Amino acid sequence: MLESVRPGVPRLPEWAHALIFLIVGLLGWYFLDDTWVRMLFLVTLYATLGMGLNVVVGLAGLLDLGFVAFFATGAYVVAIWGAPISPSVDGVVNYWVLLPMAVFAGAGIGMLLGLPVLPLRGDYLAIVTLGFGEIIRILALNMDDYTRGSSGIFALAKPDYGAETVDSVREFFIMILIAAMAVWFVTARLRDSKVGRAWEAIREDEDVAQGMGINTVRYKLMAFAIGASIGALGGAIYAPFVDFVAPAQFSLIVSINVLALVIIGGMGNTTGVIAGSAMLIGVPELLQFQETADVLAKFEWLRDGLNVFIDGFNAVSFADLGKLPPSEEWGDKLALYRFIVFGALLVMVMVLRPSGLFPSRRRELEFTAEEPAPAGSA
Amino acid sequence: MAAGDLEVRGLGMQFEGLSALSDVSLRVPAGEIHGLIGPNGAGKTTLFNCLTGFYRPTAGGVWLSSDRIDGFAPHEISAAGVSRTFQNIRLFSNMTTIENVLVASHRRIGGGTGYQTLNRRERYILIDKMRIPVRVPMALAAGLAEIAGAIVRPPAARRHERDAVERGQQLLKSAGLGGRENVVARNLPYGDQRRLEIARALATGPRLLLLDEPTAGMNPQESSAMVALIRRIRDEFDTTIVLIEHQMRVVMGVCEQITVLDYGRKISEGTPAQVQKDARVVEAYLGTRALKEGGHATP
Repeated sequence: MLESVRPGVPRLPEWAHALIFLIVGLLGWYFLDDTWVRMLFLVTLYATLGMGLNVVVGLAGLLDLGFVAFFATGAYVVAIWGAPISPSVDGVVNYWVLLPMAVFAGAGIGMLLGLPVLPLRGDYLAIVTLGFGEIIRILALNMDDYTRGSSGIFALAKPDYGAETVDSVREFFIMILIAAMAVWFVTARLRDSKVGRAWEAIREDEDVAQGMGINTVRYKLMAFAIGASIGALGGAIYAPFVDFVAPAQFSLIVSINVLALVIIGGMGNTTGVIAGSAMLIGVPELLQFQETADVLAKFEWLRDGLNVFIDGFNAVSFADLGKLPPSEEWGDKLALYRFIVFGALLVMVMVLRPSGLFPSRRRELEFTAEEPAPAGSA
Repeated sequence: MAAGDLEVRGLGMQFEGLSALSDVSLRVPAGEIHGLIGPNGAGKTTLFNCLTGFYRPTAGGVWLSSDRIDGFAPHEISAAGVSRTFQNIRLFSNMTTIENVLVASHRRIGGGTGYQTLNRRERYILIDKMRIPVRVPMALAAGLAEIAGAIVRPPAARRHERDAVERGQQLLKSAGLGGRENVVARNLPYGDQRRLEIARALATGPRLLLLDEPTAGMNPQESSAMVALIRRIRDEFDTTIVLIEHQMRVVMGVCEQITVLDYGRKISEGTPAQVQKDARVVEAYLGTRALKEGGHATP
């Protein structure tokens, strides 16, 4: 419906974006080695989490800083009922039973969070959700009888198919890829339905939305539940992948990362979420790879060139900046300082593209100045 | 009372120590265009907020077609057939015109075209009978069904959506916004934004339409176009209309009955001609000495 808003910019349809993502993922899966596929797994996992948070923050406009709570819920459901070691449950439940259980538990926890924060808006909502995320982590830390506290739960039941079990990085990557595509489809369908329209109306003006007949309680809870169940789905796939679930994995930084990748990518848009995930999760990983170092080692000529500049600068300014290290060492240095590079990237994106890498059409509108309406664009 | 009759009895609205409305009563028979006037701060918009559930009145009651509607949430009152526009335009400004209208027709997409009757007594009985063990699972099941419907998108849902879009386009056309379905609301010219607000209010299918200063900031030509639109809406959509208005030309031209508020109290009512002659109204607008001496109004 918004296609004609900026008639000058041709865009690929959303399914084409999804197809490109799928093909890139599968090519990576086929050609790259395990370290790289592990990176792809993390990127896709965080993209999936981002799609979930996007429903809450991007569509319904509810700023949630405690998204990690739902991720933890999913992981712990799978761990408590799926690991022989867990102290409270005897026996092991099949993973494929646990997965929907985790999703529904996530939805339940999401609504549990949603209920008390219904009247809260903006900053207040952010603070309370932030606290909620911490509460879940601290609960997990202290409920030794269920979670084994900080020692964590390991040796989880793995998902199986036929006689095989999913236990390699490559198999888990396929699993998360399928989950990501499913979540993409579900969130896109919801966004384009009257549910999505109700969310957007709430985001625009909650009071007016209610005045126009939208049951805001119902739709806000729905947004929390759906976002949370997607978070739990991510947790339920992540848990058997790392085969270890402990409170330390569910710190605030996870929530911040997911929120940051949604904002960097362009809020409200799934393609943006994936781009954001690739940048925020993928790039820091990438900088540690031997392959990156190998490529950088080939840039000895660049080092020579830059050193000439530095020498020149030193001569003029009486400073002594020394010389760049040989390019074989660049990879190590970059791995060491990857978070500085990463921070610089973040700042760069936010300065150059304040509405994100791939903003949704609507966000793009919000960030552009008023322009005359195209007449009769129907 | 006939369907669409509005009755307000002894309505009071108290904010802490401030009494914004006290003992306001008025009757608007179905199909009437009723004016609500009064100086700034008289409580006109507060009355609208009470009628639509934005505020919960602290005294008195509101009946629409003999259903008591006060004390319910705004979306429930909207479902009972009350809709409104806002003094300072409050569109969903980053959504397109058609989307604005579709949001308002939310309840009517996919069945459910009838008005929800809100009878307080029945409501309590219902809650008593169906306490949390029943109500919560029912609400959850309904939510789950709605989500599933949105994801699977069965043919019926597509049809409902198509119908809603068609109805919305029709509505936009009759509000004079035909062919601008895909314009983002905030890019519309001012007059069109006001018209879109009215179209959006109509999309909820109201029996009672409350217009808060529909001609504010309009020039005489635009105002008279708006007057014509208001008349047409009453005839075409068969709604009762209450409007707040400051432009006397508009009030006198379109309203059949007028209620005058001052300091939260009703000070006069009647036909435009009667109200114009009422000494209390002149006093409220111009001050006491204006009446006595014909001089300048002073507090």
